[in-house]
Amino acid sequence: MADQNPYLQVKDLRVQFKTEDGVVKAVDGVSFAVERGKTLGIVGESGSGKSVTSLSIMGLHNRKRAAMTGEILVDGRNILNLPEEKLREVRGQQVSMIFQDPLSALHPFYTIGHQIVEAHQVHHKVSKKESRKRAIEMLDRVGIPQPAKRADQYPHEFSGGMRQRAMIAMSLVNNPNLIIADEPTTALDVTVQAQILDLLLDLQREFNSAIIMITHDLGVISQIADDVLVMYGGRAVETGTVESVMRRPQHPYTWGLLSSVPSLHGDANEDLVPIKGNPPSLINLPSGCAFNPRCRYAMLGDGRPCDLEIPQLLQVQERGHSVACHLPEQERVQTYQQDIAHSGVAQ
Amino acid sequence: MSDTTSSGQGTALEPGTAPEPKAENKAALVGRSPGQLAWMRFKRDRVGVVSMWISVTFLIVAIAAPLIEMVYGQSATTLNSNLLNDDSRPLGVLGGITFSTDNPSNNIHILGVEPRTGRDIFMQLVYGARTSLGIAVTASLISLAIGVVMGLVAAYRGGWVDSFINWFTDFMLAFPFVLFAFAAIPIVNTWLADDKGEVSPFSRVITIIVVFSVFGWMGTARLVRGQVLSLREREYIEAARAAGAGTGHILFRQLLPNLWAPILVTLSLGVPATVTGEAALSFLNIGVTEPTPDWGRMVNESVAWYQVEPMYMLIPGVALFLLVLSFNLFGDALRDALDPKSTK
Amino acid sequence: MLRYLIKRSLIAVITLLMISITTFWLFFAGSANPAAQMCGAKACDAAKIERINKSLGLKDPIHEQYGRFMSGIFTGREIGEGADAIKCPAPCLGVSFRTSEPVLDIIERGLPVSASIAVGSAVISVLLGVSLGIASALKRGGWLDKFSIGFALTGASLQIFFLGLLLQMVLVYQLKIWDRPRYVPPSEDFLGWLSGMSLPWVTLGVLSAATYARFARAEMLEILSEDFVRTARAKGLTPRAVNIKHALRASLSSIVTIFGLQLGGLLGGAAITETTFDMPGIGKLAVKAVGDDNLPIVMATVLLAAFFVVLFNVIVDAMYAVIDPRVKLS
Repeated sequence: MADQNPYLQVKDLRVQFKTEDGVVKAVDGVSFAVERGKTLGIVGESGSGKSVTSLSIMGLHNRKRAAMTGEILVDGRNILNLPEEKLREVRGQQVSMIFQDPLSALHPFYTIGHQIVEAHQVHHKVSKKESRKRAIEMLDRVGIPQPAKRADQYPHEFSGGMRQRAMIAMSLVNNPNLIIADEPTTALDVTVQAQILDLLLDLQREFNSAIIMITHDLGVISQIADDVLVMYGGRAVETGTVESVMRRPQHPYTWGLLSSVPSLHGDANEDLVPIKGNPPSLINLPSGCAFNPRCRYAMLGDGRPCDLEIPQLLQVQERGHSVACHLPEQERVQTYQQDIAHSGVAQ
Repeated sequence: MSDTTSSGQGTALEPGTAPEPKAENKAALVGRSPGQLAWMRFKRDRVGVVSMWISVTFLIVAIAAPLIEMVYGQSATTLNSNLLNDDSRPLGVLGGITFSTDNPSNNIHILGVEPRTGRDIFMQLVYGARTSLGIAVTASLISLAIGVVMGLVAAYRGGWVDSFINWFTDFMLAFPFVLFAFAAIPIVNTWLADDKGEVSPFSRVITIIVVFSVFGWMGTARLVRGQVLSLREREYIEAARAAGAGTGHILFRQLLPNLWAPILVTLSLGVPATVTGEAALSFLNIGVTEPTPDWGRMVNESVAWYQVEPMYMLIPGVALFLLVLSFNLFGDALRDALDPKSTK
Repeated sequence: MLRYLIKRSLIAVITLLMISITTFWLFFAGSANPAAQMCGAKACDAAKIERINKSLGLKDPIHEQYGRFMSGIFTGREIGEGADAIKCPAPCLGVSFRTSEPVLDIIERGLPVSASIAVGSAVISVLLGVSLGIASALKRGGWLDKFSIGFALTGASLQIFFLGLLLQMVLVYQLKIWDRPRYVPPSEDFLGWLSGMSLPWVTLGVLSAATYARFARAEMLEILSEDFVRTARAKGLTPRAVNIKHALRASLSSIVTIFGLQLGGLLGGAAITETTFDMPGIGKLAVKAVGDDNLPIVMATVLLAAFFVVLFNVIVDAMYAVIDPRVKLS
């Protein structure tokens, strides 16, 4: 990834919320970058900090309640320092967002057309009529039949897939340079999922926009992303190109996500092993590597590091691939290959 | 805050978190039941804790009224016409407040005495709390029980049973409660009258409890129904059903334990609501009659005197306000502690 | 939409019918001797009581009495026999046991008083309560929010009869800076009407405002955390547009519900309000009628109050359909 000023650069982002039960460290020192025309996938369980990261890029956190440090550079401007009025110019125009559940993300009392027109009007000084023309155009572009008629219907009159298409039309109505899609296909059934992903890729090619795809589904990532960032407990644990992370994952958590890691001592017919335990509490993260209580390979006791030191995100031999894990790289590669061989699941 | 992530050099320990062994750490996290967590949250709410103690004090006063009478030295019903002037107004200042026994009644009167009768207002309040809280707690418990059963049955049975209970709930809600109760209580009392047309104080209290119970369950029923509908589809209920558990078992052993939080909140907010309602009826002169002390009736009787004896109205009014406020605050704090997501 | 409303109205009518049956049965089957009331101060002999009972049909089976009562509402009727008969035109709610005057006429005298109290206090409570609740939700944690929470809790814990008496005592009788509550028809003396009604309005208005404030705040906070509000902000809309066009619009349906329930229930609570301020409205009428065992008036006021509850429920449902496009389908 040559650094010719990527469209979005996030540097050492930290987001903390004060709650009655303590300080929630939702994001704890995450850095990444996305260029135009490229897609970054952010993967993690719920509570890993991926959605909080995306809302930070939109500047959608209440500044009174969320303490944010680091830098979020959108086209060179730091979102974290922008006054609210300037932020509003960025939102919806330069950066826009597609939400997980379009039924709750669209206002139930306004027609689809009205909501798209509104999104267009905020950033364009044109007549309502022109905005409406543009809205219908967009609805047509995302594959909604009879767009002029559908524009006058309410969200509840749309099917799930159509609603998500409408949501995408609304997000793209201002040709944003960066699109953040937060689990855009989770609420949809599988065939519709594929259509929506295809649509996103199509639109990306057409507008040359950058996409951040947030998901817990590695299948989605492998279909659509160029780079991937794996998050756990608010921190980045592995990052690299999709090719290298999917083929040669090096973090035990990523192995777990890939769900193809049988237990070392299990029998050969065992196939899918879910990650044991629950995501950690962000108020009281386990000491050391946040993943250590759930990690089968954790090195504990006698001054060994896994529950004592937070592992750094370090580049491995492969270019652009970094992992935060205390296991020696040699051992990681070997273990994983053994596991694959053992289970008979070849990539 | 130390920059632990990027440096990787320092230890991962935050200031203030002790380096606990892993097993213990886990136990501490797992070992807290939802009840304990709620209690921890509750304890942090200072208003909630104070209001809880005030509410408890009111309850203790109500329960221990005879004991207080013994210590205080005078009953609620002792007439002291010798403490009144020729206009039947209390002698002395502020409605006859005195902390000395050097007066014709040979007793202190820390809140003064009533005009016309000279009865001690403090003891009237103490026994009035007994009346109010006795009625309110009993009626709230009964209406809670009715509501829980109605809600459980409606949600669990579904179909026409559900439709009927829903309609019946709406129907009961359409009754103008105050007006209806106000009109119905005297009539119900005539049924309970003995041969001489007298209604015993006990029967009057029962009537009021019945009326408040009959009209108090609808909110609980709706709440429980909604909760059960969402719980019903959960796996553990499915599992119990698959294991052959009977309806009764599922309702009362599986579902009910998961409903205790909203039920507790309903109960704690139902008591002050009933206290208010009962006082309102007494204010309209329907309900418990002399010689049973009652706060609402005290306010009612003070109307004739309040231009000259303001204390006589202020004292029961303020007592009523304090009791209802402390129970309301406690109920709110309880809800916040049990359901941290609620927005008040 | 129309079918939905017709269905709701039909349910409302059935509910009202059931309430009238329950009330009638409870009052007329269980009551002591109403005929004694007709005689007033001079006690009647047994024969006279017998005659009254017979002419009013008070000893007839209860369903026959109910039938006469209901048909009277639609067609009017004559109550009593021969020369003593009282004409009671439709809608006839019976005649007073005391004065033999048609109940409707008596109620009509009280209605303007009760309506004045209800409308005036509703205006104050909605304006004050809803704006306070919304403002405090938007500035959550600020001083206005803290004030609003305190106000809501205090208001919810204060009894109208206590606050009303307290204000009268202090403002009217001690400080003498406020007019004594009284009713004069606005057509006769508009300013007198305003000043006479002002204390009940303020008392009831401020107390109900506490309910609205609490409710509007909770509702608004919940809506503000909804996904579609986040979407609106993500579009780059101004806070004003987000708060008013998106959040407030969505919380409107719940606020309308509370408003309908409150307003519908006002008549039921009028007994307390009107006793507190000594106003000759329907509530006061009911209180007096209960004291006198004057069942036709009691019956009529209960039915009227129930009618308003049910009516406002239907109005709320209709408003729903206007506010929320999703309702039209169901």
